[in-house]
Amino acid sequence: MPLRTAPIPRMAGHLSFMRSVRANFEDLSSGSLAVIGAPMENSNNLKSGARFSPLAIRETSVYFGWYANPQFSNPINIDELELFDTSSINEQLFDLGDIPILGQTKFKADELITRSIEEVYKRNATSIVLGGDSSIIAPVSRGIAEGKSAAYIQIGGKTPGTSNTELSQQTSAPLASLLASGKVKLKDTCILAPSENPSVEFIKELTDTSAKIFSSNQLNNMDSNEISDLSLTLSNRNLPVIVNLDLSSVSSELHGMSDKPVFNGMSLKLLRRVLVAIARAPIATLILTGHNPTVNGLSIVKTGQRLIVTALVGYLCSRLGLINDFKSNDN
Amino acid sequence: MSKVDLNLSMQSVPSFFGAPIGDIEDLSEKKIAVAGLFCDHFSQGEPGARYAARQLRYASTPLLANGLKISTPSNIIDVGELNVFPIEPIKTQSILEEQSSRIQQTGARLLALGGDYSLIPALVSGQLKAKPDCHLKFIRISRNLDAAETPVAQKNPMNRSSATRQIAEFCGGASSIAMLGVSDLSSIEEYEYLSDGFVRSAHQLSKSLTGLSEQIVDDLQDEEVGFYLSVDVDVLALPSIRSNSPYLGTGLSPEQLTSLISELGKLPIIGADVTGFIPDLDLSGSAASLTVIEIIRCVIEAMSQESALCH
Repeated sequence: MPLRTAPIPRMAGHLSFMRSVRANFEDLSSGSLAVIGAPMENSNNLKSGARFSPLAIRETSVYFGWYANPQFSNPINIDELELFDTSSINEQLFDLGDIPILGQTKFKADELITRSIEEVYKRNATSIVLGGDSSIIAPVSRGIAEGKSAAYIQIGGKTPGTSNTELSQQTSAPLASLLASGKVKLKDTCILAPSENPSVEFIKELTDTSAKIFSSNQLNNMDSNEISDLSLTLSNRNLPVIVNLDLSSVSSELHGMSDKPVFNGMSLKLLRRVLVAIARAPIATLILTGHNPTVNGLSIVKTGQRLIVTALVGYLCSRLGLINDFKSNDN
Repeated sequence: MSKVDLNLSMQSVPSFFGAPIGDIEDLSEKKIAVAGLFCDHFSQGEPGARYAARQLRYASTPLLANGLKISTPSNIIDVGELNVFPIEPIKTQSILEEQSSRIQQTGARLLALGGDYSLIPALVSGQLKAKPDCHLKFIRISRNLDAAETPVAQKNPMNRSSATRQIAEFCGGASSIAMLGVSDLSSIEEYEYLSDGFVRSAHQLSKSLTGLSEQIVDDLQDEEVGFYLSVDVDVLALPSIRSNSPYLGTGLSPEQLTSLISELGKLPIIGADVTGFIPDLDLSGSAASLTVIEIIRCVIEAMSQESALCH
């Protein structure tokens, strides 16, 4: 009999992602969904703090958790009165902890991130990587692409000036370095709700290669099947699909926790709809970036973090096949 | 890019000092089971100490400790938070007693962190339940005696102001109690109740600690004993550390407190707690949390020592 035989308060105890099982790489198998923290940030300004994001997201997520705590045994009700049978999630969702990058050089930290993601991907498991800032995108993508190429869905975040602009001029747009390294080809790219308007030149390049780009307004007018087709089309090219969810995709009035405030971004409802829809395709990894829990001061649980986790719950339930009625997703 | 030979060993979710996370089956003799207490509202005093365990995990996790060199003591296991029932004090008392007892039965020693002193009688009672033949003596480091009389019609058994008296009753009377670091604000009745015990003020302790453990053993007149050590951070004369007792500007410095705990390491400590700390809730920890971490490290070292005075 375990030490605890009754519920513990929500904020107490070990704070794994949604109280999921803590596991090692060896415990993963096909169909597993591994949560992995990459607490890395490149900040040298006053907005430092993205490295605390995995911790903050995990802590917030216990409001949705159920594994170690019998009081969470009720089916989760994200919104819309949806009921899920959560019994199978315990067997599929694992928290691997954080990649130990403390004290490493940037080169070694990148290599650790790449190797960790490789370890997950080679077991046919999918992952949710909790950043960190956007500097983790390149090493995560290397771990997925395995020397080949991958498809890339960017939600929020910056766009490059052009696909071949000098890297030194656009290092803050992670897609630029992915394109330059050849890990991602422009035609296998889809950009949703970018945080700032892309250049005319870049839009023309995207159009010429049949790559897709949609603003938050355009996404709002699309139904879930149309959004699903974006990721399904990419995965049908036999490429692993990498999704980067940058918090700058979401309207700042909802959370205020991104370094780049965006006031015409997605609503929570739209973000969740997008995540649920694109998760119909076999996504190799979802990388969460742009969340800085130290912006706007600190507290135990912030509304913004709860909203992000609400959207992530939609994603993981869809990825694990627990949401099948996509018409309800549009309501 | 050439491959770097790096061992992939993931940083787990935060635990006390980055210790392995375990449960009852992982405990054995020589191990120290470190548990959190998420409860601070059954008694008087400022609430907030329920968050101490959370913050101490963060502050003692190497990744978050802002470069502080924190190493993991080899004999500790983080067993998570003990069960509590936030609106049911009687049920909470009962389940704390049961969990304390079950940990003690494994041969491991319990170190409870966080919460307030009102929870400790239940833990001490659990220790005695597991080892009914053990002569348990109780050492409390706090500015308060907390030995007030329990009201007859007391519906809430978890009351800090009378916790020492409850523990004395479990342990066979006031002569089993040693109170260290006491300020002069306790009532005459409380002093009278503890007249058979061992009481030293913070002022007395700050002069000299030499021979203190021997004095405690002599005063308690029994060498075949186990000791339970209870540390309340309210004993610190450090305004930056908030405890659930009012700050008075008197007490021990952190150095004096750690020296005192080290001195008590000569005694066989079979259980311990550190209570009363109300942390700032910054994710990155704070100076106050790191100070308390150092105090806890001393308690772990004291618990890990072979006793020089008793068997």
